[in-house]
Amino acid sequence: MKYITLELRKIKKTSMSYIIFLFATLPILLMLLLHITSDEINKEFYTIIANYSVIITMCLFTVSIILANYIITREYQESTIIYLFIAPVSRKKILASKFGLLFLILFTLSIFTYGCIFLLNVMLGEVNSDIFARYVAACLSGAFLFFLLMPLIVAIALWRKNFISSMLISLVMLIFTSPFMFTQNFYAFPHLIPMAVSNNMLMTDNKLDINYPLAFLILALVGCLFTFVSVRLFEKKE
Amino acid sequence: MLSVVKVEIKKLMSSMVLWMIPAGAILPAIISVLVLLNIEGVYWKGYIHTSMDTFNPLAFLIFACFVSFIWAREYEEGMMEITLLYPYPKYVLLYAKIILMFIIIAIIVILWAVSTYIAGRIYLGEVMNTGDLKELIKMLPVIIVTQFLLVTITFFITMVFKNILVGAILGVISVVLCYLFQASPAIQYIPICLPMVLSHNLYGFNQVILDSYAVSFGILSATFTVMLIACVIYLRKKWELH
Repeated sequence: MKYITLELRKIKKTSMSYIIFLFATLPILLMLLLHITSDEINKEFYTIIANYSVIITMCLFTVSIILANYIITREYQESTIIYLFIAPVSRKKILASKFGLLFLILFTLSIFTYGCIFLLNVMLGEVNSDIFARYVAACLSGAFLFFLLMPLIVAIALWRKNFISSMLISLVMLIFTSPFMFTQNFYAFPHLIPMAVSNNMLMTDNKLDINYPLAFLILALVGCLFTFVSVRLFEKKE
Repeated sequence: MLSVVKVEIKKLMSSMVLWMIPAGAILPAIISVLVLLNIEGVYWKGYIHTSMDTFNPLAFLIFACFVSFIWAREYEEGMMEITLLYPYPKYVLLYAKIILMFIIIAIIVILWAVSTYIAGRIYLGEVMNTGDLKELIKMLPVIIVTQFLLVTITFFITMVFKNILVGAILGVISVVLCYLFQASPAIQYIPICLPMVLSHNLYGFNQVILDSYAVSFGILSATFTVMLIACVIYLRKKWELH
């Protein structure tokens, strides 16, 4: 916990806090804008959320990509990694604290964004226990499954050791393949699974055909494999 | 001027983001094929249209990243002091980077057309007829020009924030906006979505609403001019007065 607090302090006074805030509020503002501009037939707030939930997940994933790359690569680019490595703490613990920070921020961000959208739904539309359960399921499943992808992002960051390069690889990987999410074989791209699962939780009809145990298994495998790769890369002597 | 452009090209060639040129060109074609893989009765024009609609919003992300990279790296890598020592008027630096962006945009768009053709040839298993090929070739200058007219927005925002992340954020916002407002008439007034709207309609499709080509081109031209003037004024204040 001490190391996670330390990591949090490191990013507190950087531009990252503004970026996190921007991406946490962006989906809320966009959903509101869409509600205002939509015609009478499609004006039901929950229908808008269900139809465009991919935007919420895309924003959450984008900010987690930026953050994960930043907290890893800045140590290399600003040469602070040397001080980290001479600290009397194992490298695994340092890396674990970074994952811990990502976990905390991802869950907080997800709860904040979905929470605000739910509050908007209460004010602008009709809400019942089923809708509430859908929001909770989308929020928690999205955050948890995205977290399983973080080792992959961290591994790319540790491989490139350059913020812009690693961030662009991850972003291009996410954004360019996003149209593929609406096809049957989207399992080929594991990073689309959290988005698809999260969307399915909110959707009432036209749901994607997802095999949930298989989806979880693929993500868990990706998570384990890239955690191992990240630890190896982080412990590599240079 | 030409030598500054050459210097910019050399700087770009030594950067770590050069892979984005082939990635930005080839990925939309591959993704279009993968998206259409299980659909029967796909014809050349429909396939090109899918690829174009995938390419345009994503291309803005790539171009915005390039713009913020070629501007903000000067600050982030501490090169701006050296760059400002060039014996040229300071605005030449901006113009050189804008010309460089035009070259990058042109290369990516042409590569996209070639990769789309190759991927389509493999996927559809037939040669594209001359009419479709001519239409595709006609669309290339439209895409190049419309995408180019947006670079000054990113230049200006990057100048203000001096951060490489600006391009990526702007690019993601543009992708999100294009997706959100795809079915809304408001899309024809959002400058960063206009390359997609214009190419979609000019290619003969009308799912994305567009009332007037003149208004859209007017918005794009005005955006380019206003942002270019804003860049020059900002640089004058920043570099000449201090």
